[in-house]
Amino acid sequence: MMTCQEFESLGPDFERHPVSRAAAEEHLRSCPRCSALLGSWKDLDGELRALARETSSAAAPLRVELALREAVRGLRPQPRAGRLVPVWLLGPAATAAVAFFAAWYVLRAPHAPQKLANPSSSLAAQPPKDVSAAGEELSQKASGPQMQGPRRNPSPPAAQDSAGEFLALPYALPVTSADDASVIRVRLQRAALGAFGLPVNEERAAEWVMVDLLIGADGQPEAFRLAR
Amino acid sequence: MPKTPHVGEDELLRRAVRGDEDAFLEIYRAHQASLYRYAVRMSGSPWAAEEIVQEVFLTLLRAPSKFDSARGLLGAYLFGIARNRVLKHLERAPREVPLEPDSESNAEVHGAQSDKLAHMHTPAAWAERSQLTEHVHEAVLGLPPDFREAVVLCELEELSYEEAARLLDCPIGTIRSRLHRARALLLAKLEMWRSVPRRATAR
Repeated sequence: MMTCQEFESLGPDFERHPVSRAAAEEHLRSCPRCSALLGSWKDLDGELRALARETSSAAAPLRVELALREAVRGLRPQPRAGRLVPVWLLGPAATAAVAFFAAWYVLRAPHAPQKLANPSSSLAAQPPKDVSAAGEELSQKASGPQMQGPRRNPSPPAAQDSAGEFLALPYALPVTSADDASVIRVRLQRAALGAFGLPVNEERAAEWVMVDLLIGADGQPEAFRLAR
Repeated sequence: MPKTPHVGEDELLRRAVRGDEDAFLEIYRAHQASLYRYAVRMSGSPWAAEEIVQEVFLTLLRAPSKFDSARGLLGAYLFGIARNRVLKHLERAPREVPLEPDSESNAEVHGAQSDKLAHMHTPAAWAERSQLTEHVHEAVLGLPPDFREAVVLCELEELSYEEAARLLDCPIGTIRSRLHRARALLLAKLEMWRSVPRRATAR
Protein backbone atom coordinates (compact mmCIF):
# COMPACT_ATOMS: atom_id res chain seq x y z
CA MET A 1 0.00 0.00 0.00
CA MET A 2 1.41 3.37 -1.06
CA THR A 3 1.76 6.07 1.56
CA CYS A 4 0.92 9.76 1.11
CA GLN A 5 4.61 10.62 1.22
CA GLU A 6 5.40 8.16 -1.54
CA PHE A 7 2.56 9.54 -3.63
CA GLU A 8 3.81 13.12 -3.19
CA SER A 9 7.34 12.12 -4.11
CA LEU A 10 6.12 10.55 -7.34
CA GLY A 11 4.25 13.66 -8.32
CA PRO A 12 2.03 13.84 -11.38
CA ASP A 13 4.52 11.67 -13.21
CA PHE A 14 3.14 8.58 -11.51
CA GLU A 15 0.87 8.08 -14.50
CA ARG A 16 3.89 7.50 -16.74
CA HIS A 17 5.02 4.43 -14.83
CA PRO A 18 2.68 1.43 -15.10
CA VAL A 19 3.95 -0.13 -11.88
CA SER A 20 3.51 2.95 -9.74
CA ARG A 21 0.31 3.93 -11.47
CA ALA A 22 -1.67 1.02 -10.12
CA ALA A 23 -0.45 1.58 -6.58
CA ALA A 24 -1.10 5.32 -6.78
CA GLU A 25 -4.62 4.86 -8.08
CA GLU A 26 -5.35 2.45 -5.25
CA HIS A 27 -4.01 5.02 -2.78
CA LEU A 28 -6.07 7.81 -4.31
CA ARG A 29 -9.27 5.84 -3.85
CA SER A 30 -8.73 5.77 -0.12
CA CYS A 31 -7.03 9.17 0.47
CA PRO A 32 -9.04 12.35 -0.09
CA ARG A 33 -6.01 14.54 0.71
CA CYS A 34 -3.90 13.05 -2.06
CA SER A 35 -6.91 13.15 -4.38
CA ALA A 36 -7.15 16.89 -3.72
CA LEU A 37 -3.42 17.21 -4.26
CA LEU A 38 -3.73 15.46 -7.61
CA GLY A 39 -6.52 17.87 -8.52
CA SER A 40 -4.21 20.81 -7.67
CA TRP A 41 -1.47 19.37 -9.85
CA LYS A 42 -3.83 19.03 -12.75
CA ASP A 43 -5.10 22.57 -12.27
CA LEU A 44 -1.55 23.83 -12.21
CA ASP A 45 -0.73 21.93 -15.40
CA GLY A 46 -3.76 23.50 -17.06
CA GLU A 47 -2.76 26.97 -15.93
CA LEU A 48 0.80 26.50 -17.12
CA ARG A 49 -0.47 25.29 -20.48
CA ALA A 50 -2.67 28.36 -20.72
CA LEU A 51 0.32 30.55 -19.96
CA ALA A 52 2.34 28.68 -22.59
CA ARG A 53 -0.39 29.21 -25.17
CA GLU A 54 -0.75 32.88 -24.44
CA THR A 55 2.94 33.55 -24.75
CA SER A 56 3.63 31.14 -27.57
CA SER A 57 3.40 33.86 -30.19
CA ALA A 58 5.93 36.07 -28.45
CA ALA A 59 8.89 36.97 -30.62
CA ALA A 60 11.67 39.48 -30.64
CA PRO A 61 10.54 42.88 -31.91
CA LEU A 62 11.31 43.83 -35.47
CA ARG A 63 13.86 46.38 -34.32
CA VAL A 64 16.13 43.55 -33.18
CA GLU A 65 16.07 42.05 -36.65
CA LEU A 66 16.75 45.43 -38.21
CA ALA A 67 19.70 46.08 -35.93
CA LEU A 68 21.16 42.67 -36.67
CA ARG A 69 20.67 43.07 -40.40
CA GLU A 70 22.61 46.29 -40.17
CA ALA A 71 25.37 44.42 -38.39
CA VAL A 72 25.41 41.77 -41.12
CA ARG A 73 25.67 44.43 -43.81
CA GLY A 74 28.71 45.73 -41.99
CA LEU A 75 30.37 42.36 -42.45
CA ARG A 76 30.38 42.60 -46.22
CA PRO A 77 33.89 42.99 -47.63
CA GLN A 78 34.42 46.56 -48.76
CA PRO A 79 35.64 46.92 -52.36
CA ARG A 80 39.14 48.30 -52.02
CA ALA A 81 41.81 48.73 -54.67
CA GLY A 82 44.29 46.75 -52.67
CA ARG A 83 42.07 43.73 -52.73
CA LEU A 84 41.44 43.88 -56.45
CA VAL A 85 45.14 43.47 -57.25
CA PRO A 86 46.88 40.23 -56.37
CA VAL A 87 49.39 40.69 -53.61
CA TRP A 88 52.22 39.34 -55.72
CA LEU A 89 51.73 42.21 -58.16
CA LEU A 90 52.25 44.90 -55.56
CA GLY A 91 56.06 44.67 -55.59
CA PRO A 92 56.52 44.97 -59.36
CA ALA A 93 53.85 47.65 -59.48
CA ALA A 94 55.66 49.70 -56.85
CA THR A 95 58.95 49.30 -58.72
CA ALA A 96 57.36 50.38 -61.97
CA ALA A 97 55.80 53.38 -60.29
CA VAL A 98 59.14 54.49 -58.86
CA ALA A 99 60.85 54.00 -62.20
CA PHE A 100 58.14 55.95 -63.96
CA PHE A 101 58.37 58.76 -61.48
CA ALA A 102 62.14 58.89 -61.77
CA ALA A 103 61.94 59.01 -65.57
CA TRP A 104 59.31 61.70 -65.45
CA TYR A 105 61.38 63.72 -63.04
CA VAL A 106 64.49 63.51 -65.23
CA LEU A 107 62.57 64.43 -68.35
CA ARG A 108 60.80 67.37 -66.84
CA ALA A 109 63.90 68.81 -65.15
CA PRO A 110 65.35 72.07 -66.65
CA HIS A 111 68.54 70.34 -67.60
CA ALA A 112 66.79 67.43 -69.22
CA PRO A 113 68.53 66.54 -72.46
CA GLN A 114 66.69 66.84 -75.73
CA LYS A 115 65.52 63.76 -77.43
CA LEU A 116 67.33 62.93 -80.60
CA ALA A 117 64.05 62.44 -82.31
CA ASN A 118 63.80 66.20 -82.68
CA PRO A 119 67.25 67.59 -82.15
CA SER A 120 67.42 70.09 -84.98
CA SER A 121 65.37 72.73 -83.29
CA SER A 122 67.23 72.69 -80.09
CA LEU A 123 70.84 71.69 -80.31
CA ALA A 124 72.08 75.01 -81.56
CA ALA A 125 69.79 77.03 -79.41
CA GLN A 126 70.42 75.34 -76.12
CA PRO A 127 72.24 77.40 -73.55
CA PRO A 128 75.39 76.04 -71.94
CA LYS A 129 74.56 73.07 -69.76
CA ASP A 130 75.73 71.76 -66.49
CA VAL A 131 78.11 69.05 -67.46
CA SER A 132 79.15 67.96 -64.05
CA ALA A 133 77.95 64.49 -64.84
CA ALA A 134 80.43 64.27 -67.63
CA GLY A 135 83.44 64.97 -65.55
CA GLU A 136 85.16 67.79 -63.80
CA GLU A 137 87.37 68.85 -66.67
CA LEU A 138 84.73 68.78 -69.30
CA SER A 139 82.21 70.60 -67.22
CA GLN A 140 84.30 73.74 -67.33
CA LYS A 141 84.21 73.83 -71.09
CA ALA A 142 80.99 72.38 -72.22
CA SER A 143 79.09 75.10 -73.91
CA GLY A 144 77.13 73.01 -76.36
CA PRO A 145 73.78 71.47 -75.85
CA GLN A 146 73.29 68.18 -74.16
CA MET A 147 71.57 65.31 -75.72
CA GLN A 148 70.32 61.98 -74.75
CA GLY A 149 71.80 58.80 -76.05
CA PRO A 150 70.18 57.39 -79.16
CA ARG A 151 67.20 55.27 -78.39
CA ARG A 152 67.59 53.25 -81.54
CA ASN A 153 70.77 51.83 -80.14
CA PRO A 154 69.44 50.66 -76.85
CA SER A 155 72.06 48.34 -75.58
CA PRO A 156 75.52 49.09 -76.78
CA PRO A 157 78.25 48.04 -74.42
CA ALA A 158 79.01 51.67 -73.66
CA ALA A 159 75.48 52.52 -72.80
CA GLN A 160 75.31 50.28 -69.80
CA ASP A 161 78.03 51.84 -67.74
CA SER A 162 78.37 55.27 -69.20
CA ALA A 163 77.74 58.63 -67.58
CA GLY A 164 74.37 58.81 -69.27
CA GLU A 165 74.24 62.12 -71.13
CA PHE A 166 75.88 63.04 -74.40
CA LEU A 167 77.40 66.45 -74.99
CA ALA A 168 77.18 67.83 -78.48
CA LEU A 169 80.55 68.62 -79.91
CA PRO A 170 81.05 72.39 -80.24
CA TYR A 171 81.44 72.44 -83.98
CA ALA A 172 79.17 69.56 -84.89
CA LEU A 173 76.03 70.06 -86.89
CA PRO A 174 72.77 69.25 -85.16
CA VAL A 175 71.80 65.65 -85.29
CA THR A 176 69.02 65.29 -87.82
CA SER A 177 67.73 61.89 -86.93
CA ALA A 178 68.28 59.50 -84.14
CA ASP A 179 67.45 56.62 -86.39
CA ASP A 180 70.82 56.72 -88.09
CA ALA A 181 72.91 57.46 -85.03
CA SER A 182 75.07 54.88 -83.32
CA VAL A 183 77.33 54.79 -80.33
CA ILE A 184 80.88 53.57 -80.23
CA ARG A 185 83.17 53.40 -77.28
CA VAL A 186 86.76 54.46 -77.77
CA ARG A 187 89.79 54.80 -75.55
CA LEU A 188 91.47 58.17 -75.82
CA GLN A 189 94.01 60.26 -74.11
CA ARG A 190 92.55 63.39 -72.67
CA ALA A 191 94.71 65.35 -75.01
CA ALA A 192 92.70 63.97 -77.89
CA LEU A 193 89.62 65.73 -76.58
CA GLY A 194 91.28 68.91 -77.65
CA ALA A 195 90.70 67.79 -81.22
CA PHE A 196 87.01 68.18 -80.54
CA GLY A 197 87.54 71.75 -79.45
CA LEU A 198 87.45 70.98 -75.76
CA PRO A 199 89.90 72.45 -73.29
CA VAL A 200 92.34 69.99 -71.80
CA ASN A 201 94.15 70.15 -68.52
CA GLU A 202 97.72 69.78 -69.53
CA GLU A 203 98.68 68.09 -66.31
CA ARG A 204 96.26 65.27 -67.04
CA ALA A 205 96.58 65.28 -70.79
CA ALA A 206 98.30 61.90 -70.86
CA GLU A 207 95.55 60.11 -68.98
CA TRP A 208 93.56 57.52 -70.84
CA VAL A 209 89.80 57.81 -70.68
CA MET A 210 86.92 55.87 -72.19
CA VAL A 211 84.62 57.96 -74.32
CA ASP A 212 81.34 57.10 -76.00
CA LEU A 213 81.00 58.82 -79.34
CA LEU A 214 77.64 59.40 -80.96
CA ILE A 215 78.21 58.87 -84.63
CA GLY A 216 75.82 60.43 -87.09
CA ALA A 217 74.63 59.06 -90.39
CA ASP A 218 77.54 60.67 -92.14
CA GLY A 219 80.00 58.83 -89.94
CA GLN A 220 81.11 61.96 -88.14
CA PRO A 221 81.08 62.21 -84.32
CA GLU A 222 78.35 64.52 -83.19
CA ALA A 223 78.35 64.12 -79.44
CA PHE A 224 80.25 62.35 -76.75
CA ARG A 225 80.19 61.35 -73.15
CA LEU A 226 82.71 60.06 -70.73
CA ALA A 227 82.21 56.45 -69.88
CA ARG A 228 82.42 55.57 -66.21
CA MET B 1 13.75 25.36 -28.57
CA PRO B 2 15.76 23.37 -31.06
CA LYS B 3 13.98 20.15 -31.89
CA THR B 4 14.88 19.37 -35.45
CA PRO B 5 18.14 19.86 -37.27
CA HIS B 6 18.27 22.67 -39.76
CA VAL B 7 19.79 21.52 -43.00
CA GLY B 8 22.77 23.52 -44.18
CA GLU B 9 23.19 25.61 -41.05
CA ASP B 10 26.95 25.52 -41.51
CA GLU B 11 26.68 26.88 -44.99
CA LEU B 12 24.12 29.48 -43.95
CA LEU B 13 26.38 30.63 -41.16
CA ARG B 14 29.37 30.84 -43.48
CA ARG B 15 27.37 33.00 -45.85
CA ALA B 16 25.96 35.13 -43.05
CA VAL B 17 29.37 36.06 -41.65
CA ARG B 18 30.38 37.14 -45.14
CA GLY B 19 27.51 39.60 -45.11
CA ASP B 20 24.78 37.56 -46.77
CA GLU B 21 21.67 39.07 -45.26
CA ASP B 22 19.30 36.41 -46.55
CA ALA B 23 21.35 33.62 -45.05
CA PHE B 24 21.45 35.41 -41.73
CA LEU B 25 17.72 36.02 -41.77
CA GLU B 26 17.09 32.34 -42.35
CA ILE B 27 19.08 31.51 -39.24
CA TYR B 28 17.60 34.36 -37.23
CA ARG B 29 14.00 33.62 -38.06
CA ALA B 30 14.42 29.94 -37.32
CA HIS B 31 15.64 30.56 -33.78
CA GLN B 32 14.78 34.02 -32.54
CA ALA B 33 11.27 33.33 -31.28
CA SER B 34 12.18 30.39 -29.07
CA LEU B 35 15.18 32.25 -27.69
CA TYR B 36 13.08 35.31 -27.02
CA ARG B 37 10.37 33.31 -25.30
CA TYR B 38 12.91 31.56 -23.13
CA ALA B 39 14.54 34.87 -22.23
CA VAL B 40 11.32 36.69 -21.49
CA ARG B 41 9.88 33.81 -19.48
CA MET B 42 13.05 33.54 -17.47
CA SER B 43 13.69 37.24 -16.96
CA GLY B 44 10.14 38.54 -16.96
CA SER B 45 11.42 41.53 -18.88
CA PRO B 46 10.73 42.04 -22.58
CA TRP B 47 13.49 44.63 -22.65
CA ALA B 48 16.04 42.25 -21.22
CA ALA B 49 14.87 39.48 -23.53
CA GLU B 50 15.23 41.74 -26.53
CA GLU B 51 18.75 42.66 -25.54
CA ILE B 52 19.66 39.05 -24.87
CA VAL B 53 18.43 37.88 -28.27
CA GLN B 54 20.39 40.61 -29.98
CA GLU B 55 23.54 39.73 -28.04
CA VAL B 56 23.16 36.05 -28.88
CA PHE B 57 23.15 36.67 -32.62
CA LEU B 58 25.88 39.28 -32.44
CA THR B 59 28.02 36.76 -30.60
CA LEU B 60 27.35 34.26 -33.36
CA LEU B 61 28.36 36.75 -36.03
CA ARG B 62 31.49 37.87 -34.22
CA ALA B 63 32.79 34.43 -33.41
CA PRO B 64 31.18 31.96 -35.81
CA SER B 65 34.08 29.55 -35.46
CA LYS B 66 33.01 28.79 -31.90
CA PHE B 67 30.05 26.88 -33.28
CA ASP B 68 31.00 23.34 -34.16
CA SER B 69 28.25 21.50 -35.97
CA ALA B 70 29.88 18.21 -35.03
CA ARG B 71 29.11 18.90 -31.40
CA GLY B 72 25.47 19.83 -31.78
CA LEU B 73 22.82 21.83 -33.49
CA LEU B 74 23.05 25.54 -34.00
CA GLY B 75 19.84 25.98 -32.01
CA ALA B 76 21.36 24.29 -28.99
CA TYR B 77 24.48 26.40 -29.34
CA LEU B 78 22.43 29.59 -29.48
CA PHE B 79 20.37 28.44 -26.52
CA GLY B 80 23.58 27.95 -24.55
CA ILE B 81 24.62 31.53 -25.25
CA ALA B 82 21.16 32.81 -24.38
CA ARG B 83 21.11 30.82 -21.16
CA ASN B 84 24.43 32.27 -20.05
CA ARG B 85 23.17 35.77 -20.76
CA VAL B 86 19.93 35.15 -18.93
CA LEU B 87 21.70 33.79 -15.86
CA LYS B 88 24.04 36.76 -15.83
CA HIS B 89 21.06 39.04 -16.09
CA LEU B 90 19.35 37.30 -13.19
CA GLU B 91 22.50 37.51 -11.09
CA ARG B 92 23.02 41.21 -11.46
CA ALA B 93 19.45 42.45 -11.64
CA PRO B 94 16.63 41.98 -9.20
CA ARG B 95 13.59 40.39 -10.66
CA GLU B 96 11.78 42.89 -12.77
CA VAL B 97 8.09 43.30 -12.49
CA PRO B 98 6.43 42.44 -15.79
CA LEU B 99 5.22 45.44 -17.64
CA GLU B 100 1.59 46.24 -17.97
CA PRO B 101 -0.20 44.52 -20.83
CA ASP B 102 -0.96 47.80 -22.53
CA SER B 103 2.66 48.93 -22.62
CA GLU B 104 4.41 48.97 -25.94
CA SER B 105 7.02 46.30 -25.36
CA ASN B 106 4.71 43.89 -23.70
CA ALA B 107 2.15 44.23 -26.41
CA GLU B 108 3.51 41.33 -28.41
CA VAL B 109 3.58 39.03 -25.41
CA HIS B 110 0.04 39.83 -24.61
CA GLY B 111 -1.06 40.15 -28.20
CA ALA B 112 -2.36 36.64 -28.19
CA GLN B 113 -4.68 37.55 -25.38
CA SER B 114 -6.71 39.75 -27.65
CA ASP B 115 -7.06 36.85 -30.05
CA LYS B 116 -8.48 34.79 -27.26
CA LEU B 117 -11.00 37.43 -26.37
CA ALA B 118 -13.34 36.23 -29.05
CA HIS B 119 -13.35 32.78 -27.55
CA MET B 120 -14.28 33.96 -24.07
CA HIS B 121 -17.94 33.93 -23.27
CA THR B 122 -17.97 37.13 -21.27
CA PRO B 123 -15.59 39.98 -20.51
CA ALA B 124 -15.68 38.99 -16.84
CA ALA B 125 -14.61 35.45 -17.69
CA TRP B 126 -11.85 36.73 -19.87
CA ALA B 127 -10.64 39.14 -17.18
CA GLU B 128 -10.62 36.42 -14.54
CA ARG B 129 -8.77 34.05 -16.80
CA SER B 130 -6.29 36.72 -17.76
CA GLN B 131 -5.68 37.60 -14.14
CA LEU B 132 -5.09 33.97 -13.26
CA THR B 133 -2.59 33.61 -16.06
CA GLU B 134 -0.84 36.74 -14.90
CA HIS B 135 -0.55 35.32 -11.41
CA VAL B 136 0.79 32.05 -12.74
CA HIS B 137 3.35 33.99 -14.72
CA GLU B 138 4.38 35.94 -11.64
CA ALA B 139 4.58 32.75 -9.63
CA VAL B 140 6.86 31.21 -12.26
CA LEU B 141 9.06 34.30 -12.23
CA GLY B 142 9.26 34.03 -8.45
CA LEU B 143 10.83 30.58 -8.61
CA PRO B 144 14.57 30.09 -8.10
CA PRO B 145 16.28 30.20 -11.51
CA ASP B 146 17.01 26.47 -11.65
CA PHE B 147 13.40 25.55 -10.91
CA ARG B 148 12.10 28.28 -13.18
CA GLU B 149 14.24 26.99 -16.02
CA ALA B 150 12.83 23.50 -15.63
CA VAL B 151 9.28 24.86 -15.72
CA VAL B 152 9.99 27.08 -18.70
CA LEU B 153 11.54 24.30 -20.72
CA CYS B 154 9.32 21.37 -19.78
CA GLU B 155 5.98 23.04 -19.11
CA LEU B 156 5.99 26.17 -21.25
CA GLU B 157 8.21 25.09 -24.13
CA GLU B 158 6.91 21.55 -23.75
CA LEU B 159 10.25 19.84 -24.13
CA SER B 160 10.63 16.30 -22.93
CA TYR B 161 12.73 15.65 -19.85
CA GLU B 162 15.40 14.18 -22.10
CA GLU B 163 15.53 17.23 -24.33
CA ALA B 164 15.68 19.58 -21.37
CA ALA B 165 18.41 17.53 -19.74
CA ARG B 166 20.43 17.62 -22.95
CA LEU B 167 20.06 21.38 -23.25
CA LEU B 168 20.98 22.01 -19.65
CA ASP B 169 23.65 19.32 -19.69
CA CYS B 170 22.38 17.62 -16.57
CA PRO B 171 20.81 14.23 -15.68
CA ILE B 172 17.13 13.62 -16.34
CA GLY B 173 16.64 12.97 -12.66
CA THR B 174 17.76 16.51 -11.93
CA ILE B 175 15.14 17.88 -14.29
CA ARG B 176 12.46 15.71 -12.73
CA SER B 177 13.48 16.74 -9.24
CA ARG B 178 13.54 20.44 -10.07
CA LEU B 179 10.13 20.20 -11.69
CA HIS B 180 8.70 18.41 -8.72
CA ARG B 181 9.92 21.04 -6.29
CA ALA B 182 8.91 23.84 -8.64
CA ARG B 183 5.36 22.50 -8.76
CA ALA B 184 5.21 22.42 -5.01
CA LEU B 185 6.35 26.03 -4.80
CA LEU B 186 3.95 27.13 -7.53
CA LEU B 187 1.04 25.45 -5.83
CA ALA B 188 1.90 27.18 -2.59
CA LYS B 189 2.14 30.56 -4.25
CA LEU B 190 -1.10 30.14 -6.16
CA GLU B 191 -2.85 28.91 -3.09
CA MET B 192 -1.78 32.02 -1.27
CA TRP B 193 -3.16 34.14 -4.10
CA ARG B 194 -6.47 32.28 -4.07
CA SER B 195 -6.81 32.70 -0.35
CA VAL B 196 -6.40 36.50 -0.63
CA PRO B 197 -9.68 38.34 -1.19
CA ARG B 198 -10.06 39.37 -4.86
CA ARG B 199 -10.54 43.00 -3.93
CA ALA B 200 -7.07 43.13 -2.39
CA THR B 201 -5.44 41.98 -5.61
CA ALA B 202 -7.46 44.14 -7.91
CA ARG B 203 -5.39 46.72 -9.77
